[in-house]
Amino acid sequence: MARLILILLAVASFVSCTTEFTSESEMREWLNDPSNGLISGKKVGGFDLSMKYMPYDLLAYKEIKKDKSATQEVLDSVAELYDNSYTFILSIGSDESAGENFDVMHLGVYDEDAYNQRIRNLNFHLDKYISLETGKSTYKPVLTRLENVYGLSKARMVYIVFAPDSEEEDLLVANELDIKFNDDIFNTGIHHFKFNKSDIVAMPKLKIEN
Amino acid sequence: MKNIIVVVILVVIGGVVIWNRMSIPKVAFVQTLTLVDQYKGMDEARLEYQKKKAVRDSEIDSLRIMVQSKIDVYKQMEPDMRDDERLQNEQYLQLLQQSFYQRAQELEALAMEEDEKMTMAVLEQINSFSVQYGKENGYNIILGAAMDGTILYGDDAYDITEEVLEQLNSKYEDN
Repeated sequence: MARLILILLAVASFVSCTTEFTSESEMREWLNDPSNGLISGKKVGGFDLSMKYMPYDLLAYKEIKKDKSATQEVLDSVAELYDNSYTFILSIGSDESAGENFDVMHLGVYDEDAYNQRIRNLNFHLDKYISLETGKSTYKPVLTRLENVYGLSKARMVYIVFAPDSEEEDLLVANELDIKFNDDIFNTGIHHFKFNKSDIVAMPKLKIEN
Repeated sequence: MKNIIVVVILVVIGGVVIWNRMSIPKVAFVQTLTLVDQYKGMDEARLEYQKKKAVRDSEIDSLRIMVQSKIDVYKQMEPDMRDDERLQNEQYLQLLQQSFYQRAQELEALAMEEDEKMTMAVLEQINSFSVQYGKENGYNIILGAAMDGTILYGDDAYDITEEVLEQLNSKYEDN
């Protein structure tokens, strides 16, 4: 009986422990599950803000997926290009759980100047409001990019990339990454989004079928 | 038969007690000043505000020093100036001083606006968290005890300031 229980436990742990993802959707599901520690969110004043880690193999896959003949080797080689940086997505939307449903670009904007200022801030000046702290150092994003939603969404997403200036810096070896968003754009205050290196490392890799 | 009546009475009494319990709203209060004062988001917002203020103050100081140095130079040279030169310089210095006061006022107004925005954002964070905390913990009402006397007395058993503060700070730091 005891042996049977052990076998069942072993089978259960084998089944529950994902070693690799075989599809993009599996990977996204993992990323969107807060218990995996790769997404963190806040709800303030009708806004729903979240910060999500983007693994480099998913970024690479997004680049090569149009090419149906792309192999695992191609994916790995493209993924290497992202290996020395961290990419996150900051999502800013309305808090639907609180019954809110507004376009974040328009809320609190009462004239064209203010609207243009918001667009400019999100497109070109977001690095002023975002930083990553490791405990030893503070990093500014090397790239921020507002995704164009073509009017299809009331929320907005911004890609944020952090990279060390030199190999000596601790960005890539730090155990904890604390992303600070000092929101002077929507005036929701200061937010911290923390990520553990162990959660990033624990994430299974994406394998594509050839 | 007697036993059945006793059981029925007990069930009815039990039902009434449970119904009463369920219909009493779950109420608690928080000390709003403590909450705001000990919220880590407020500490950090104040620090950010101080940093911006220091930049503005240094701009005002630089302008003040520049204006004062021009006045000092003028005072040194003034005895040797012709009347028209004196008039021209005084007009220029007056304009300079006016510009300085105007800029100082602008920066002062900006500081007040930023202070207000900072405070509003922090209060919004606390309010949003309180709503979430209330829903998650089954409260019907969470009252805010403030200095203006919204609550004159509250039994300590209903004071949830510490619990709310602990979770509020934990959420802020994203732990």
